[in-house]
Amino acid sequence: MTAELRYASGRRALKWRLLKGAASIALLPSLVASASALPAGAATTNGHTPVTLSFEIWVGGPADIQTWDHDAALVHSEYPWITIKWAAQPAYSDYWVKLPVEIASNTEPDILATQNLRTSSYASGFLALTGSQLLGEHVPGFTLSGFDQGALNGYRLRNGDLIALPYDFGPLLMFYNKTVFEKYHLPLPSNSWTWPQFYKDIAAIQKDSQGAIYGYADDPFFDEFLTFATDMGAHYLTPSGQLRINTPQFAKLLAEYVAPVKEGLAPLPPANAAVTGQWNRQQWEAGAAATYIDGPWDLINDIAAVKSGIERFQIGVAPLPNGPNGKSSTLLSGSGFGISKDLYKNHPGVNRAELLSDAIKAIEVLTGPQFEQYNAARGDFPSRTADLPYWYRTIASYGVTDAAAPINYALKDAVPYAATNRWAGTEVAFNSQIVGVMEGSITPQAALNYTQDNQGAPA
Amino acid sequence: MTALVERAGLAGSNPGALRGHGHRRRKERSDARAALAFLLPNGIGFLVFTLVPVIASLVISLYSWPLIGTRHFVGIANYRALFTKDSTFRAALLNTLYFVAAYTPLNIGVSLGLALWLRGYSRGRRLLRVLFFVPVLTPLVADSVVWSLLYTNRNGLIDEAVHAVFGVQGPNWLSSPHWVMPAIIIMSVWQGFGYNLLLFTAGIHAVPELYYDAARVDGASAWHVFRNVTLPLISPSLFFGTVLTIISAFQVFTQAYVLTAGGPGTSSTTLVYWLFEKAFDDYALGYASAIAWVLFVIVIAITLLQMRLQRRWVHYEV
Repeated sequence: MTAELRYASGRRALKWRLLKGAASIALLPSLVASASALPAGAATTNGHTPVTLSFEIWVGGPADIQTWDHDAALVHSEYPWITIKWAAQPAYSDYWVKLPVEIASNTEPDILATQNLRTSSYASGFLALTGSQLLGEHVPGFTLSGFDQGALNGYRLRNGDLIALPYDFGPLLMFYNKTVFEKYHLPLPSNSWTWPQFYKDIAAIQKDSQGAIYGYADDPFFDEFLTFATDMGAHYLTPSGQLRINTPQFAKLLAEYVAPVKEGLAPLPPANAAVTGQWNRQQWEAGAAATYIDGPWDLINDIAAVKSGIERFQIGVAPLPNGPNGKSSTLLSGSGFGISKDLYKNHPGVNRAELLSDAIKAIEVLTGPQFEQYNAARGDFPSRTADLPYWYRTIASYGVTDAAAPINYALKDAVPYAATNRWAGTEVAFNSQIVGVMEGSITPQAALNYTQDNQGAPA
Repeated sequence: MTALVERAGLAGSNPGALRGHGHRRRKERSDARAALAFLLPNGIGFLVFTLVPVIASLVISLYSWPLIGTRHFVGIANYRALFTKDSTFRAALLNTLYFVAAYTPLNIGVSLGLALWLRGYSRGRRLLRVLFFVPVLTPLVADSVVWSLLYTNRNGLIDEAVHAVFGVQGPNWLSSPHWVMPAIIIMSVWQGFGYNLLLFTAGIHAVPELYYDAARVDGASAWHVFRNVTLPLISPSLFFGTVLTIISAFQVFTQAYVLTAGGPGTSSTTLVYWLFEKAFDDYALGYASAIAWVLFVIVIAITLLQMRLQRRWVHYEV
């Protein structure tokens, strides 16, 4: 072929490509229009109807958005006909205002995040799924036994149905400043330590540091108090699931809970500590307090904060001190994904069985091993037992090498954090009182009576 | 003359006047249509976003209206519960009145004082005005977060300053039931006085200089000039500022929410804070609406009283 011919041929090819390109661009809108006009139920991807499922979860920042984008992409790569799309990205506290409004107005997206302690409150917004609906028929090899059963059972209704699958969870633990314990020659907290030993240790830290370091940062928050009470053998719910805390037993426990503050072994929190959240964590991270209670989900953030902080110290993890029965009975908290009760309404005309199957596939991938491993590597405590080593490995790579033994010990006797369907109001009522109890202007019994009387309306 | 006749309604028998009258009526109709067209967007907005929700909230207040679940008519039971059973509502009402009673005179006093001071202050006056107004422009939530750090016990700037100057530990601003309300009031005055400062500055500048000259010639003292010249002549601004300040004071919420979460106990729970908790933590929308209506009635009553009393002390003519 001569140069002219090659040139002419190249020109023709170029023109042809340009023509094809122009035609494609011209036809694109009509192609899109015709695709969107496909009749409901039309099979286009491996015999499956493409479906876009909206989802919503609280976000704390760009890292969270990146995580969930990754997980949404994971669902799509596993099942190309399923697309997961954000409905909204509210902050944590906004989410719990937005969700009930959406449930009440039947405008919630298809896939919703929730927490085990809110199972009773928001059950009406979720599709209740039987165990058999969630088993391997949708995702080959999927099994409910892969989850930590405590984490899973937190989403069970009284009839055994599940409203969500857990993606993370954790027992409440005692985080401590190892450097301070070693500096003052105190034995490091172990699985066998008790509350009397804990009080002795925090008093020693306060005394030996000449008041420079508080032994403990007491959290003015309902969850932590209930964990303490549970560890001490008390039951805050009656067998029928009603709150009952206005008893002398709980008054005594509350007095014990606030004792470190009253005795000057822990700082007095500001009244807004429960709203701003994690005030005690900030005290601990800043090196102002030697111990505090938190879940493993915060450990990676603690490590980052301590590494970049002024007071750099070695982090230790311990179970909650053993209660009078010789066990560390902590409450299990966690988060998970469920399917909206309005799923079918959100997709009119779509085959219901197929739609439900797709939604189940989505939440099973969002809580599945691949996702869990990815999240564990980013610091979320995975709800699948087999994936825990990923989390321990991540934490160890940051220098906390001895977390496995205390966490496994804490998990042994941990119980799901159960709640009533009036929990939001109950929490707020208690949280509004506790700083007054710590400060001395409100008696423990009065605070508990107030909480009992102001549980709020059922959600 | 024609105008006088027209105004007196005596032009009926005059054909020329009739033509003029018809022209005027056509013009009036045209003006009315134009006015309506200009008012319509605002009117629709007011109707859709204010009037309808306000009426709806009155209806909701007569219901037990959970966010999720069945609602049912309860008549005035929500109102009865507010005044007979709800001790937090009583505390919130008292706290709100405490806030209004302390915040309003402090706000008016500080802004008026600074406006007067700035009048006689030539260098950097504009810069100072801007600086005083900046807190009004910054988000209240951000202000509250900063002040919560300032108020921190033991390490906060205010506590350190008290310790440095007086050698004693300052009060526990955000944990003590006795100090939380003063803490909120101080922060609110700092945040809010800039608006009234601008208002009073404008009022003071509108006072003709010749009154001051005349007073000086008569040998009036600074106090007498303020009492008998400035104050009467800026009384419309003062009245306007006071009305708005009282209304906004009754609606205090953000400071209580961010600085103290209404606590400790109920020592800084305000009416709007309690309304918010009932609506968005307890999801009791009927009850929350009842609180809103009680607040609305209180604010309306006090505003009407102020409107009535203004005749005694507000001077519109210069």
